[in-house]
This record gives sequence, C-alpha cells and structure tokens, in this order.
Amino acid sequence: MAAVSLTPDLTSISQLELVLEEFANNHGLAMPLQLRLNLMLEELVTNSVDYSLQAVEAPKLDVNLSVEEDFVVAVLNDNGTEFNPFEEAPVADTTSGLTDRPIGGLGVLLTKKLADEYAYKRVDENNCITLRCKITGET
Amino acid sequence: MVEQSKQGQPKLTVRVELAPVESGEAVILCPSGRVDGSTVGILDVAVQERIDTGVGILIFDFEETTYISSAGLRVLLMSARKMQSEGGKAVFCGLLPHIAEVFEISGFSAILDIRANRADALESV
Repeated sequence: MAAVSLTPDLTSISQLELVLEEFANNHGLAMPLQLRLNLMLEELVTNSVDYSLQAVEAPKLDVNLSVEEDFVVAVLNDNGTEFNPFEEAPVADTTSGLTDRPIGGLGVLLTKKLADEYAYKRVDENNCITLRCKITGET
Repeated sequence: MVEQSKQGQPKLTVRVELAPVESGEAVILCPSGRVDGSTVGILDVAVQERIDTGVGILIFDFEETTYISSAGLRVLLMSARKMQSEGGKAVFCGLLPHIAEVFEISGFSAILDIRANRADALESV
C-alpha cells in the first residue's frame, strides 16, 4: 500500500514516477505494468492539474496504490471542480489524416484502453478515480 | 527546464546524429530516457531547432526511449505535420513494444511513417 499527496503542479509527474518505481519494487511488479500504471496516472494527474484544480484555492491531489488479489488498484483523488474525464473529456480523433487531426483527448483514450477497469465517482466534493490493472505473469 | 532523476542523471537527453541517405542527409534524433509532461520541452526544443534549420529528412529513433505519454505524442504529431507542410519527411523507428502499443492505441500507426529500426528507416528515405 502506498498513499502519497502529490504537489498539484508539473512536479507531480516526477513524484509519481518515483512513487510507482518504489511500489513496483515492493510488490515485484514487472516493468511493463509499472510503465502502464505510470502512463495512466500521469495522464489523469495532468488533467487534474490543468483543469479540475485550476480554480481551487487549496488544491489537493492524492494517489493511493494497493494490490488486491491479482490486481493493482490505483485511486486518484482531487478536490477540484466536478469533472469526469471518462465522460466529459473531448473524445480523441484517431482516424483523421495527419494534417487535420486534432491533438486532444489522447490521454483519456490511453487510460481507458490500458486500464482493465476504470471508474469515476464524485465523493464529498472530490473527484475520485479508480483504476484496476491485472497483474499478469509478464516479465 | 531540466528534470533530474533521483540518481541525478537527466531524465531525458536528445542526441542528434547525421546519416547520409540517397536524397542527401538525414538528421536522426535519439531521445534517451523518459518523454513525459515534465521533460517534453527538451524534445520539443531539439525538434524545433532542427526544423528551423530546414532539415529535409528527420528520423526519430526511439530505441533508448523507455516511456512516452500523450505530452510527447503531441510533439511528435506536430513535428510530422510541420515536416510535411514544409515539404520534408519525418520517419519514426526503434519503438519498444510498450511504446508501439501507445502509438497503436493513439491511431498514429495510420498517419506516421513507422519503421522497425534505424536501418529500415534510412533505407525508406
């Protein structure tokens, strides 16, 4: 179990990297899974910092990591404006040609595709996102 | 902006190499380390410098790239677009499996010229 309060700005990305490295070492997680968790959480943390936490006077951004049976469970909490990235973020365009392709929405798309399960809840004025990733035998 | 890893090494360096190709000379950018939201500026500057000097063929060799997030993908998309609009060409190669997966999910495989390795990339231009 790891529970960490991240600094709600760009430095949270480096903090996240170190937290995941330590968590993966402690639980013997394979590198691909560590990188996958890192990517999803970076995308979500970036969303929180850039959008939901923008108008908050005392922003808070917490991440909790745990292993439940054969899943890694990552929970991200922020006290920002209500925002469900899985429903409200712009949908990524993955079909237009190079010249016309808009560049938004990729972070949420990657998170949805790389997580085995994802969920959003509004809890006590907080945005609460839960990701679950299956631990496989990959090395 | 230089983000350091806990070992004090830069998290991302971008090496620039040159290689002769049939149509002249290719510039090869080799990002080594992590391309995330805190380091992407380093890649962006390296790319812009090259595009501004009027390079015709730009090859991104990701053999030493261990991680890339959407912040990095954005820079790659913009670079390919800019190269195309200026009559040049951008080729991407050396993707590790988990990086290739990220490209695939993002739908980049259909719009970017992606080759297995540097030799293939050089041969294609």
